[in-house]
Amino acid sequence: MAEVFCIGTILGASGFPKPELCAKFAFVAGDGWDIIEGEDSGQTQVDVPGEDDRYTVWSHPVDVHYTTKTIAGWPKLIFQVYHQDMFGRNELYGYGFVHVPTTPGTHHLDVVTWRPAGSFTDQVWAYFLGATPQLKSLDLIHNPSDRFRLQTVAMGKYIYN
Amino acid sequence: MAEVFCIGTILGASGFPKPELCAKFAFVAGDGWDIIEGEDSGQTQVDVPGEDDRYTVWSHPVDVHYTTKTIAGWPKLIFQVYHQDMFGRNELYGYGFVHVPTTPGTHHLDVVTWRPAGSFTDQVWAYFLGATPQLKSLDLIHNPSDRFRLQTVAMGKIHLQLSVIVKGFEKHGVQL
Repeated sequence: MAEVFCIGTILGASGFPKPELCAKFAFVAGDGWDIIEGEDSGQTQVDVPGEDDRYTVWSHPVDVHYTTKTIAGWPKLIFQVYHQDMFGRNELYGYGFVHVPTTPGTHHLDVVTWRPAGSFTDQVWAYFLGATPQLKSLDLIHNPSDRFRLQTVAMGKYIYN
Repeated sequence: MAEVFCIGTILGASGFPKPELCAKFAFVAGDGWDIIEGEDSGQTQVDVPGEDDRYTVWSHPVDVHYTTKTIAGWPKLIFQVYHQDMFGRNELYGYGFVHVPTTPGTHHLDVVTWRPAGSFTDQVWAYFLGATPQLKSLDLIHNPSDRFRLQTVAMGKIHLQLSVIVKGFEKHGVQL
């Protein structure tokens, strides 16, 4: 059984229209992969940038230990980014994903994100009510818009038995 | 049987005249290569850039598992980039291809693209109607045959991040 350790930090985000954000993340892997230690999903805090509002800071730790019999279904990290306004409403700001790097070592990753645009009515609705269209199934992709970035640092360690 | 895993992301594109793009991609390999797992073709969404319209974002996952008896016909990824305007018309914006890297590890690849120019009449037609000339056969994108009759216009670049893992090449005497 081969093992993969993924140790790192979800540093924060930049490039979003408004910076008061939180992210939900989850590890997704194929059938042959099992998590031995660590949580495979979580949610960061909502950060409200102070001095420099170009950069949302989460510094959320990530620490998982996989064992596997197969390379197929190499783990991915998927993200959903939400914006929280002053009334406490959560508005979907983006979906993104990144593969866990396949080489050992420390990697700095930028995860680009996108959100569904929706029809014209959806966009008017979203502008006034903050109810942006969301995906029914997180596996689906259809007509997204805009470009944003998340930043993460991952460290990997590989042990083969 | 040796195996090659190609795991990665079609990140997006830049450098095209207009940024509302989608891409169709496909893996093309020789006869000795078989796909065990994964989809060998697909189409990304149409992305409409917001804040920064220099960069179209797709973030489309790619995950294939090949087995092979031969090195000949090493897999390639071919692309067709289409622009979708506000009326929903799709206009061909470029063809491109890249070989799957032959060394294990993570690779950042820029795929350059081109589109056929066509005759003068074709170009006037395309300007008014959005009907750009297209290739009849997609083999020309990735086959090293003569292209001297074809006049093309350079278009933008597609950005990929591919991780390649190989297995079983050493026992056949191949070092990657």
